[in-house]
This record gives sequence, structure tokens and C-alpha cells, in this order.
Amino acid sequence: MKVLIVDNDENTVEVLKASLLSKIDYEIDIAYGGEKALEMMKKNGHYDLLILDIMMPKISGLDVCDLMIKDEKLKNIPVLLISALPIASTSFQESLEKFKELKLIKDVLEKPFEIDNLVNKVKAIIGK
Amino acid sequence: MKMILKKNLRKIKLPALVSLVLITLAIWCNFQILAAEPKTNEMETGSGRLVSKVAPGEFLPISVKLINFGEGRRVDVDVDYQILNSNNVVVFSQSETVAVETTASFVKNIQIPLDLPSGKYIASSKITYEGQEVPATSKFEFSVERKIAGIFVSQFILYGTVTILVGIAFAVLSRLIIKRRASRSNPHEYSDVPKEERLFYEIISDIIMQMRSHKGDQAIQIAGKIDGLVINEENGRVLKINKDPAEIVALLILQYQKSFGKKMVFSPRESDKETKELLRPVEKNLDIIKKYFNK
Repeated sequence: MKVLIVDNDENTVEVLKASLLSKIDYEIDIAYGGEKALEMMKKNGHYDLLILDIMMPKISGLDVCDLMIKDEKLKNIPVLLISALPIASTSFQESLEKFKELKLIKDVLEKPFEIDNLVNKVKAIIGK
Repeated sequence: MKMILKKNLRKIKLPALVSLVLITLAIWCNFQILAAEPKTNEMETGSGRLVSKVAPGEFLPISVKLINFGEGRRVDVDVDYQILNSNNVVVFSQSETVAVETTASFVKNIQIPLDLPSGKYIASSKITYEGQEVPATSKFEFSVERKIAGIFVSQFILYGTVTILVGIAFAVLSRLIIKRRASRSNPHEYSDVPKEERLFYEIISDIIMQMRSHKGDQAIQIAGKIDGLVINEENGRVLKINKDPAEIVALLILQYQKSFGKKMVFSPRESDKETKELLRPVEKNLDIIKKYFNK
């Protein structure tokens, strides 16, 4: 199984990577921005999961989703959206329903998060 | 049998009647004896609950009541008024004669000498009249105290102290409020922060200050909970930014909008090309908030 972690914050990336590797034996790639993530997905082929931050400098996580939907090769990659924004709130969920990005977003995780919560969500999306 | 009872009753009735008459006479005589006892002449004085403290030069009212005089005829009574100090030395005296027919009640005003020192005094009144058997005097205590601006010195000191204390408290409070308001309206300086980071320190600081001026210290509490942002909890100065500053700005604005229901706007202190470039990620994050979090 291959997972791509996309976040501009190095500390968050390290925490995500270490947390996943401590519990699951997956292959993990890292992209420090939306542009790099799109480039890696196109170049490296299939990913089983994209752990995607929302707030990034050039292309936001939601912009990445928008671009993925338009790409035949990328439109089926499941996304676990992460953010310090209140994305678990009902208002965000209701708001997201209006947009096509919802097709890709399988679950959301608010920062700061618990490792077990992260692992459970990842397992639930891509299977054990 | 009936006849015997009637005779016996007649025998008992007569002595009982005599006894009753005798007892009644004795009680009546006793009353007459008590009533005929000579009455004790009395004198009562006081300040009439009017004053207990006077200033030199003021009048001390002495309420005088003379009781049981004259037995129906007028009697001349000499009344001696004296003021004694705490060492029982007479410092003032005055006499007058009043004609009394059984009972007299009046108020005598004695002017306190101007040179009388402050302290506790006793006002004493003594009566003398023809055929007097028992001396009659009456006393009450009062104090003399100087006045400043129409107020007794002790009250002047008390009121003055209270006024000064209230004034000091008011001045300290006003100074604190002014200082606090000034700290809220004066933007924090970040000249010690590297130029590329300074912009974000200033923006975050100004947002906190703007919200603090509307909502008080709750604005600082909210900012203090933002992950990656370290602030001075007293004045809201930004001490350290440990995460993407564009993310922190967005989180801060979202938190304020959610907490206070007030739309936030911010503007950088400078608006050159470099600043605009640095602010692009912030604007992008704010667009996300606008699109997905403003229901």
C-alpha cells in the first residue's frame, strides 16, 4: 500500500509519517506542497491514499482535490483531509456538500490529532 | 333544722361586717398617711439629646426640669450652672433665679468660652431655694472640639482622609485604565524580528489588538489557544510563531469570527510589492475560510 502525505509544515509531516509507520507497514511518500503532490501522483502512478492538508501556500488542499477530479488518472485516489481548521464541524461538512471535491474526500481529521485516531481512519479508508 | 341555720348565720354576719368596715378604714387611713408624706424636690438636666459636642463660642443647650416645688405657691429657685473639666476644675459658671410653681421646664443656653481647650467636660447644675432640706444637683457629660470650615476637627480629619483615599484610588484606577487603553491602541513594535517574518508578527499582533479593543482580554485568551502561536498573555504581543504564519492568521480570524460573530478585516502596516507577495498565502487561506466556513 502506498500513501502520499501532503503538508507544507515539516513537523506535521514527520509526526504523520512516524505515527503511520509505528502502526502500519505502508510505503509512505511526502510532498511539501500541492504542486509537488500533483507532480508526484502523475509521475509515480497509483497511490492508495492521499493525506492532504488544506492550508498550503500556493495550491490549497481543496484546490488539489479540484484538479484531481479533472484528471482521469487521479480522480479515484481517496483523500483523508487534515487541517487545523474545524473540518470536523457540521458547518464545514454541510458547506463541502456543495462542492465536487467531496467525491474524493473520504474522511477528515482535525489537528492536533491522536495517533490511534489517524491510524483508524487510514485503515478504514484503504483496508487493513 | 332551718331555724337553727338562720340563727347561726345571723350570729356570723355581724362580726364579719364589723371586720370589713374596720379593714376598709385602715386601708383608707394608710393612703392618707402615704399621701401626706412630704414630696422630694427633684431636678433633671441634660443636653436634651440635642448635642453631645460643641465648639468654643457655640451654645450648649441645657434642658432643665424642676419637679415638686412650691406646693401650690411660687418659689424662687437659684440655679447654678457650672462647667467642669476632666480634673473637676470649674472652668465656667453662671447663676440665675427662676420662679417655680410645682414644676418648671426650660432650656438654658450656655455659651462655651472661646478659649476653652478641646476635651471632655461635665455640665453641672445645682439648685438652692428657701427651706431646702436636701441638696439637688444634676450632671451630664459633653465634649468641646474646635471646628475647621464649620466641621469638627475629628470629622474634618475623617472626611479629609476618606476623600484623599478615594481620590488616590480614583487616580490609580484612572491611570490603570488609561495605561490599559493605551496598551490596547498602541501597536506593538517588532523591529527586533527579521524583516521576512516581521510582517506576520505585525499582522497577527494588529488583529489581536483590533479584537481586544472590541472584546477585551477574551481576544488574548483565544489567540493564546492557537497552535503554533506564542503571545504575551498580558498585552497580546506576539512572542513566537512556530507554524506557517499564513495558517495562523487564517485560524485566528476564523476563531474571532466564530467567537464574536464579527467579520474581521486586516491591513498590513506597509503595502509595497514585497508585502503583497508575502501576503498571498494568507489571502488564499482566507478565501478557503470565506468559501467553506462562512455559512
